Amino acid sequence: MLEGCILKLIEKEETYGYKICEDLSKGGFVKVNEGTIYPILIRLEKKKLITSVKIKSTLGPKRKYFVLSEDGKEYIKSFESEWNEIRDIVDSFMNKF
Amino acid sequence: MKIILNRKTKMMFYSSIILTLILITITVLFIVDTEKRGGATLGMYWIGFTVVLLAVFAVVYSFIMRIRKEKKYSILGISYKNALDDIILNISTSNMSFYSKRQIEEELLDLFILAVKDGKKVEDVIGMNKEEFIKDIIKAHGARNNFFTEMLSGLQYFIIYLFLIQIVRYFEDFNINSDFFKIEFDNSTIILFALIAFITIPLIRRYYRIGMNKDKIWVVILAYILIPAATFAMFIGFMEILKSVAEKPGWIKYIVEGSSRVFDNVFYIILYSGVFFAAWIIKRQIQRSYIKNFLYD
Repeated sequence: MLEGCILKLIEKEETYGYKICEDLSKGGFVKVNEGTIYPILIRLEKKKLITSVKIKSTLGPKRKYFVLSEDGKEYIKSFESEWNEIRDIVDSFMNKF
Repeated sequence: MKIILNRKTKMMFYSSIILTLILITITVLFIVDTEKRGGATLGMYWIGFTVVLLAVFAVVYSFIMRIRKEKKYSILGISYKNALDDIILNISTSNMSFYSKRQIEEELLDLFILAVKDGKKVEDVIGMNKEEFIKDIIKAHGARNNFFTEMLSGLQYFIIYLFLIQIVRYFEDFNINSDFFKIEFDNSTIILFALIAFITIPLIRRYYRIGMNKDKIWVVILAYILIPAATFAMFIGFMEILKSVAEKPGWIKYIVEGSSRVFDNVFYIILYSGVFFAAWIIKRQIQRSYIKNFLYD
């Protein structure tokens, strides 16, 4: 679930790990920290759902920025579709019972 | 500029200085002893000098790299520096490539710098369980070690040792008639190298990881001293038992008294190089399969 949300943020704009965590926190994922996001980003990159580019930073070493790949765009479509389906099922269940 | 090392890094640094001094002492004593017995050659002096020079260079180089690192780390506080040092030390014995390890260090440094700027504590960034964070990174890179990858690494070390000693022996007795491919090894020496490559080094790496994960630096230092000592004691004991056998069967004579040419001709150099790279390729394939299994969990 977190993977889908992270990819959605990257789809919006080229971004980096720390900012992704901040945006997730603003979006309601308050208990997620950078240590959780970092291995997920490695995983997404290995899956080729995102690619990365290193850009010079004023503060320290070059910063890794992530960009959504074509496979990533497809993944988001299928994630959104599955999520809508699950949400409809759960909503219907909650209304019934 | 003040260099502040955490406890672990300090002990590793001082241990490396002590081990270097021990290596230099052994080399010098060996040459002096050989000289007394009238067996020292010019090649041996050059090799001894090279060993001492490389040992001193290694310590000086690591010290200089540490100073450079301190400049990069200067913006971090003690707790972040300690955490980063711990993470780097822990991943250093994983099956990760050198490039991946450097990348992780840079990425975490950037992450920590941003966190420091926002006034976050290190636990807020990597969580309360540092070991879990390290395990997740190693898992994400498919870089965890197992018995098979350790044996493949052992095979690579074995080939490197034999090749290095072949070169050392060649230069020891170097003259215009020396033939690189005629150098012979005692079979007992080959067995010793195999023990070091397949048992000693993997055991040291294993206890290094245990010591680092449990924050018990004394386990690491004892591993560096006791495991090699136990290997040599085991080897010497084994050889003494074999030598004491009165009517030696063929295989015992072969081990105790025999010698072999490891690099008989150029073909063997190509063959061993091929084996070395095949082991490297197999380790990378294992890493890819771990990544694949992890990705689709």
